[in-house]
Amino acid sequence: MNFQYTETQILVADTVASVVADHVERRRGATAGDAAAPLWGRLAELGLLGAEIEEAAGGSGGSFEDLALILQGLGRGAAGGAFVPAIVVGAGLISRLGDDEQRRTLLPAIAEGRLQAVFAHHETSDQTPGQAVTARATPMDGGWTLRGEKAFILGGDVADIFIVSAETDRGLSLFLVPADASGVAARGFRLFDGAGAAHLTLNNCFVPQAALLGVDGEAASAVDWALDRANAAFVNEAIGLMAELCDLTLNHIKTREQFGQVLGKFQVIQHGMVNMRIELELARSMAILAAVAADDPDEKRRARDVSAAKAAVSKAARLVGQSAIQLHGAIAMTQEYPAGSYVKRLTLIERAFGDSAWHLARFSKLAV
Amino acid sequence: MNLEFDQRSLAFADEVRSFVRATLDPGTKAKVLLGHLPDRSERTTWQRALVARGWGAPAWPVEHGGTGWSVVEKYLFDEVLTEEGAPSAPVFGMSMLAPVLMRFGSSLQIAELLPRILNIDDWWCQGFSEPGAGSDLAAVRSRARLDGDQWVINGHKIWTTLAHQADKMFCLVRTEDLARKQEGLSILLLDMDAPGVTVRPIITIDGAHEVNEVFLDDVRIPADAIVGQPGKGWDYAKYLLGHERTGIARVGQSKRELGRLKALAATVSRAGQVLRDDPIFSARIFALEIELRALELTTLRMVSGLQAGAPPGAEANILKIRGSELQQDIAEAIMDAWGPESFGPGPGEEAFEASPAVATALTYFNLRKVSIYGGSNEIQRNILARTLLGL
Repeated sequence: MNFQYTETQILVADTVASVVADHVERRRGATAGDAAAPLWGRLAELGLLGAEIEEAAGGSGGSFEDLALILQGLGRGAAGGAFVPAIVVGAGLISRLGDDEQRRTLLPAIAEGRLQAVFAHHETSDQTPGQAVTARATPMDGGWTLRGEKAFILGGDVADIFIVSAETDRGLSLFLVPADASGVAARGFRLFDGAGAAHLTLNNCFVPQAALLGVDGEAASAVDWALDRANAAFVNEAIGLMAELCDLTLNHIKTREQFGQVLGKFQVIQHGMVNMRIELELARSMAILAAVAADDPDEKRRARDVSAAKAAVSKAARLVGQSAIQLHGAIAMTQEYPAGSYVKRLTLIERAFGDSAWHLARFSKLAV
Repeated sequence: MNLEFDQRSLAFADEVRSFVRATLDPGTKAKVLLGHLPDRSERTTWQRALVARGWGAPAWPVEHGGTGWSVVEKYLFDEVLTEEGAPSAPVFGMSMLAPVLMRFGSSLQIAELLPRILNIDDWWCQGFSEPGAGSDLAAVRSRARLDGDQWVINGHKIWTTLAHQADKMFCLVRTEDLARKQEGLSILLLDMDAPGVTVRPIITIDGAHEVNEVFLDDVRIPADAIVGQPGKGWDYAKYLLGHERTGIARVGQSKRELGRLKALAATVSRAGQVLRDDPIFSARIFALEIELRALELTTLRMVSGLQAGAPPGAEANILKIRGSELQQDIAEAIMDAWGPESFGPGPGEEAFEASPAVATALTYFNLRKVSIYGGSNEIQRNILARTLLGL
């Protein structure tokens, strides 16, 4: 039993912290969209986009724990952006299922920040794992024709490739579909936290045989794995967001004066703040559990641990987010003050790919 | 990172478990699992079995009878003993007074008192709280004055756990009046059979006699029956109360009780449905299980940090708050699972105490104490506000 980070991991965390601090500084003078691109480039330069990608494909060959640390750091700056959809899930699926050619061509481009591949799986706003897929892929002329709709694809607004799930005669399969292929219509939009997403329509879109990712009809377990990874990653991003909200709130109650003294002198405020920190510390333990569980070869245990973590962290996120606004008072209601963007991101994360209640139910079904 | 215990640690836990199963008296175990207090002789028998095995005081330094175990081994030992229903250690002597004596006591006190604590030749009780000094402990008004070579003590202690079974008491009293109320306090050591000591039972809402009032009227003890320096009692008291850390979350106990809750929910029916299949009750059980996992992992993070040499931080206060809340929530769910069965003895049961269902209600009432004692959860939050947040 050992919960200590390695020296390399601490170095990674420090690097992310400094990049994110820079980014936050720059963002103060820009709009959210303008600031996103330079951050992605910095993450690529420092090898952070390729942290988990195999060394042969230009990555560092690290573990999911490294991704979790990076996400905690990005969360600190409300800068998670497309990291979960494009790196954790997209690059993850290509690493796991891709053949030599796919890995050799796509992964280096992802690690260098030149290409983003995101998972286009859910077809409605119901993002819980285990949803039926109605999109169809039919073999044709040495390739495949795809038809169907995909909805709320996180990171889909800037994706170069969609990793589309579709049913074939053999079962659930995954296809690499270029965003500019004919028959692909992606409609990008902004989410309430400022991140981007897209809805996708595939209207007789033809892709070559080489676009099949993994084995025809055998994608189901990889899909479950990818969604567990997404949740394991999001709870770690949430830790960064909550930690920053705690710091922002603490700083506020140490400086804001009312009734002739700083807010932090009032016991009711102190206890509210302490409760936020308690939630954060327990959530942090569950985020560690999720990071370690994400690549657990025992699929049932992986699912159980990730769901326990998502249920717990989502609940903590509600309390921390709501308390942060309440303890600040009116200033946190403004668009200008940073707390709001952290709370909005948390509120999105906690409900993406299954909310607290759904994961509690899944956890109970997997009870040992 | 690795969240699992290594093979050596697991083998160690197995060894402890086998020992407990082979050694612990089944009657004592049953009593503990029902939530009843073991009596003095049951505690003594168990403690002496541990001493004979060399495991009497794992947290003590080896020269005083400790085991030299790692933080992880000590943690696992406590967990296994709790899960197996062993009587709790003589906490007041072993975990509170002894560390203070080792740090601040005289060599004579160490030589004489520690072996008697280890064997429970002496059962110690803690004379801290008073009617006017609960959370505000420094407000103690019991006082002692030196008269020749004796301290003469007058005062009134309350909530004194197991004072009626105790041989000795360590007692926080005022020996000098100074401007700051934290100054001028001392810790004195007295015999419970000394003239002038009167113990009066307090029956708590669960009907149990666990705590007492202790009246001290002109109690005379030798001048050297004091811990360390006169006037330093507050520092010693803080050291004493802060000593226990990793066990404070009561993870082992909550695991054991959650297991009982699940077993119960699989057998009890309500409105023709097994409780486990009721989605609302089931959600409650599994939410508790997730909270327990979070508490356990947070405890293990602390154990891992201590093992790696990190200084103890604010975790203990966090664990006290969440651990006590969880103990209460599980006890509440167990009582609720029994439903009206917990109201009183059933048609086939004679004695009130014999009904396992009633016992769960009494445990529920009894456990309201855990968020009050050892510094109430409000006090814990005040401490965190100061130490963790700098407010």
